[in-house]
Amino acid sequence: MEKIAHSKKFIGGNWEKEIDVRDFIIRNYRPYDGDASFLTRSAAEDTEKVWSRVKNLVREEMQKGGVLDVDSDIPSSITTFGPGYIDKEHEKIVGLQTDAPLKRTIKPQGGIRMVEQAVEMYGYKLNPDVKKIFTTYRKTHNEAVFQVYTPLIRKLRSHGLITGLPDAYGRGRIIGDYRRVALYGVNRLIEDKEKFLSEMPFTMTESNIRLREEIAEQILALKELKVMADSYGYDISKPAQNAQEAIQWTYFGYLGSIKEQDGAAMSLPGVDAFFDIFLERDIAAGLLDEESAQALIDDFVIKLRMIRHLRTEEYNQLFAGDPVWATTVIAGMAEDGRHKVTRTSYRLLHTLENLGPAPEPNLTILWSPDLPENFRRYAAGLSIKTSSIQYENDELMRPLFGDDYSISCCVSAMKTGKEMQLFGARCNLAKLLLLAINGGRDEVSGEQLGPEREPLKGSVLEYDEVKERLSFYMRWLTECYVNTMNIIHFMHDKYNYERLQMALHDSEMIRDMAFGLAGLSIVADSLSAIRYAKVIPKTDERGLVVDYEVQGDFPKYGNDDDRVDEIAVGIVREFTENLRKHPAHRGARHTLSILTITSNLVYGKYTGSTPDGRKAGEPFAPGANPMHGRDSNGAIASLNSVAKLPYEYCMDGISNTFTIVPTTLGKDPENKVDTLVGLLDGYFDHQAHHINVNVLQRDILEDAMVHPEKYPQLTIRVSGYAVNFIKLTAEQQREVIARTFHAST
Amino acid sequence: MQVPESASGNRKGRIHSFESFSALDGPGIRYVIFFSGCPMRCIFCHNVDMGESLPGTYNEYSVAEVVKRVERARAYFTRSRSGGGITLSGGEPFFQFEFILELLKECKRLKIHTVVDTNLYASSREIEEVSEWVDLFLVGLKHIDNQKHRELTGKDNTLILKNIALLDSLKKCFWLRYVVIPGITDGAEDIRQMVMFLSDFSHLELVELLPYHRLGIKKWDALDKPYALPDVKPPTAEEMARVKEVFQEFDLSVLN
Repeated sequence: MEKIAHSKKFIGGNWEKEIDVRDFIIRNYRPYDGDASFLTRSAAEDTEKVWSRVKNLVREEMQKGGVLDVDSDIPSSITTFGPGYIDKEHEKIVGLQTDAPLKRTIKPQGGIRMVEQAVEMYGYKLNPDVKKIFTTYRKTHNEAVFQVYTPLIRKLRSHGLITGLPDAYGRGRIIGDYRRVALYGVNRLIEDKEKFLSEMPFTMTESNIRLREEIAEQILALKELKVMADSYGYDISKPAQNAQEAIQWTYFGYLGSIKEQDGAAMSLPGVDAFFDIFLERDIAAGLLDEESAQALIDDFVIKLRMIRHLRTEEYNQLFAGDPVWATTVIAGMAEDGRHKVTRTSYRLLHTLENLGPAPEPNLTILWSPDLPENFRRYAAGLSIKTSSIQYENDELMRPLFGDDYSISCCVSAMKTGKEMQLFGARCNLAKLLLLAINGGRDEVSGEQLGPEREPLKGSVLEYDEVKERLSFYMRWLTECYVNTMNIIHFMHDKYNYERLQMALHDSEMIRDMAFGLAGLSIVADSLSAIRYAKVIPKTDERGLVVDYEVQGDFPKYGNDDDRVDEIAVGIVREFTENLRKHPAHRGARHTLSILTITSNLVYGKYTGSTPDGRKAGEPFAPGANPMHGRDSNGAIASLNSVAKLPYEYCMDGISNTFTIVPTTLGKDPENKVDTLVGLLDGYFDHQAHHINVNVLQRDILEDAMVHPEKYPQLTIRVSGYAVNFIKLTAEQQREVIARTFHAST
Repeated sequence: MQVPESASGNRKGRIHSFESFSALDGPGIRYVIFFSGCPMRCIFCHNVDMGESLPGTYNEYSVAEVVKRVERARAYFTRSRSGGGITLSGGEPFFQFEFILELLKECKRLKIHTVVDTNLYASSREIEEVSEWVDLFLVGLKHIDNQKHRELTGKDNTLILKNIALLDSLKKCFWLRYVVIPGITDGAEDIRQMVMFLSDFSHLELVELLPYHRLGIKKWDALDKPYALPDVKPPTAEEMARVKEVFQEFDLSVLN
């Protein structure tokens, strides 16, 4: 073990024998109970220089219509593009996706057509050789999937019953344990993979052959990563020796991955306790002071704020604002009962003060009532100032994922380096309800999509009848959905394999297949209307029910009213139970998210009028939120409704986006912090999973629509992630403004 | 044999609406019950829809039903560093004296912190009886001058001033809430007189100066009632500060 001999000061353990970053962290980190007073007052001079250069570049990018530059000649890989810098002299942590900042690249393995569309959208031209290679010689993921899709699957997709599927873009959501690069050095990781290969059974079944090929690819990727780091003058074959190297090595692991892949969410593991061990060791040894420690973290965060991918128009509608989901979790509790707040948890959050608010990295606090009050108050105070933080319930997730899990994208938990997800976007449940009412016909086109059943008779919708039909079509759709996902992920593994990210996982891992639902609040309210009010269907000349007249009032989801909330709970249970009946790719476990990103707008457009009184084309509420304005009993009742959704049936996460007007939180700043901490504690005490906290005035957003130049860094949380408000389309901005802002009357 | 329910168990309160979260109606996180009905007719009322208990403007709830809702917010009260609990508001809670008495008793039995937001235009006997179950009163005094009070609210303030003194003699903590309406409630002499009156009370913990706002006008419009102060503007920060100064001269703790 000469490699780690240098780090004798670290407490040894299993991490020396096996690849086990968690063991290293648990044995070596020191919880910090103090307050934020140790933090620097402002960013270091060098950081300021780098950051102001970035701000100029971002402004230029906005002026050019959102994209600064595209390289349309060279498909990006770990080793393509030489070293790139923002301001070489002043950068502490280096590495860009290309040789220049904010330049976007093509990654045609996912699909050449999308690459071509995206390139042309921004006025560039795809290199004809690249096009030829990926149309003539090399099959893409997208092409393979569509070869195998059945006519029915194509229809479900084109009618918007299942949408946003990663069949035309990288699936993402995979989190490499980039910390392994720093802790072990790449040579040790390669040795570990080679050892695994040598110990694999000789029997060459299809699955063994596939795994051998994958591990071989992983080893190649690790070797390429060394080459990439070498171009910046770093030898990452050995473990990092100090804090700068630990952060730099970790970032290189991530950088290699985003050069190779442009999956929808490219998230990070939790790094606060891990970096803290190195930072505090260097500080104790007199090698760093607080300012230089913070500068390393600031520089690391600047890098995460600069990641860019090339996207198509269609993609941008679903995932607005150019997100990359460089999500990183902060804090949480260790299984031994200690909290995991360190000084570096503060330093990471402090970047919001030093560099100003920003959507990336997607700072995610793993909340527990046992986190120190100082820290909870610091985080809540920053939420009030920046609206840039999301909170997730560590008490719900730790029993299922242990104490070294990460969040991918918005709300998807996974054991770091041991578990991966097969992302599956979402099904439009509201549309399914309309299809059920129409006996399997699409409510817009009139086309028969599902098994044919008689149209509903009678002039008033009957609850039991509609419910039975919804169950019937849910059984049908979940079977289609699982099988569609199996195709996508089979082909993604085959044609667009995430070599480097997988190399930073255990060779044998747990897989989750992550399904999703949109329109939960609409369906719950619709069934409630049918049950408690009188809903009269309106039929058009095609015999299709296209509208509904609602007579009388009914309980609405978002008011802590069990009569309707239980309907929502029943739906998610039933949906997940149905999914589980159909085997998933590579033995994956079926999970479900109630999350929409910004697709709630798109889904709304493609969905006819619903029995809750929502008119055709109107947006859905985001994620698991109640419909805009229907949560009329105040914030706690609204939060309590969402908290009822059972996490064990929605293990891919339940997203709730909460917006409150600042003055509503209290009169003075201290008081506001107390109130927000109380709201978070109370909400999570109700077994809730996730919350995006926005503390915002509606008129600020209205002003930002008119004068975007005044708000270059205005950040808001939308659905599991944050966006720069001015990067949204006017339509998306209007929808955000229409959401419920909790305010005192 | 059917056991007759006690009369009290059947009593229903007329409630305009519930607000499950407020941080501005007493200490900590509050669950606010807006009662329907009020004896006063303030010309600047911002909840005019709660003043008259017109049919269709309220629903009836039993104490148990109300408490069940409040219980759903308990985790938020107990988790909050500054605590929290129930706040009875309205309308005027004392307008439904029997119901609030029963509700407050039940809350105290369940160890829920209780606040009553009231104009104290109620009989002293009722106030004394209820006060045992109230942790804090928020007293909405509209004007110190009796004539101006009558013009503003339609009622005499003698009883109200007497009840404020009563609260203090009962050793009941209270906050005073005063709406600052430019040209109407911010006269220098009136403010001085009010502060003199208040400075005698040792259980007055805090004065909340509320800047007059016009958000309630749409409720008047909705009821087709003419709004008596169409041209009055909310006070400026300077006007608020001027009023605040007078209170501070007398060492009264002021929040605005």
